[in-house]
Amino acid sequence: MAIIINVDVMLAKRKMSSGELAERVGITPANLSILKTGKAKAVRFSTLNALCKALDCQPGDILEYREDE
Amino acid sequence: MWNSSRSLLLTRILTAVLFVLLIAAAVFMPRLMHDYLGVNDRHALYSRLLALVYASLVPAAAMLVVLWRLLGNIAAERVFTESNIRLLRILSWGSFAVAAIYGVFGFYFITAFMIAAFAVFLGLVLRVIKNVFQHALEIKTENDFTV
Repeated sequence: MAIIINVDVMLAKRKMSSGELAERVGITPANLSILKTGKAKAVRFSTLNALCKALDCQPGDILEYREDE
Repeated sequence: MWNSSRSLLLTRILTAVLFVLLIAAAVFMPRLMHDYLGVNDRHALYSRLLALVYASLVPAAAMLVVLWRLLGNIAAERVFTESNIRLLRILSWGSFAVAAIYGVFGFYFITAFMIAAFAVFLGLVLRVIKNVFQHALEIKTENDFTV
């Protein structure tokens, strides 16, 4: 997929664990794993909003577009 | 109080009853033809009618087994799955197989053509349901992977 999720990068920058992020965002660790592994088909604005709030970043820091090879 | 699980139970009971009736039909058909239709083994129709009944019993039994498995999946709350789509596809082709059998025998008994037409219609309805399930599975997958 051309959209890359950089949650792992942001987690490392903020020195935060996946479990803590899941708890702060209010999603299950399984759903966070779906997001991190790029299996997600869509991200709700409410989830994106909560992610940005928890990681103190902009949507562009989490989502990245790369052209398909 | 009537609810979906009781409705499902009723469907499963009806499927099981139909399967028992199917086996009974397979066992007693020669006698039934003799007693109720007045057709005996010396009659020209006997072998053709018997062949028609037994030829259609095979796909009918297979379809009931498939229906039983489909109902089992639904009872286990596995509704929009690849497995159920495959089972619906089998049911649809089973109906077309019955239609083909009755279509061939329609040259001997005109009523068989009507049953064949009904089986084709049933097969088409099942294909539409299969298509709906396919689309529902796509929506479900998208929903399951929406975070």
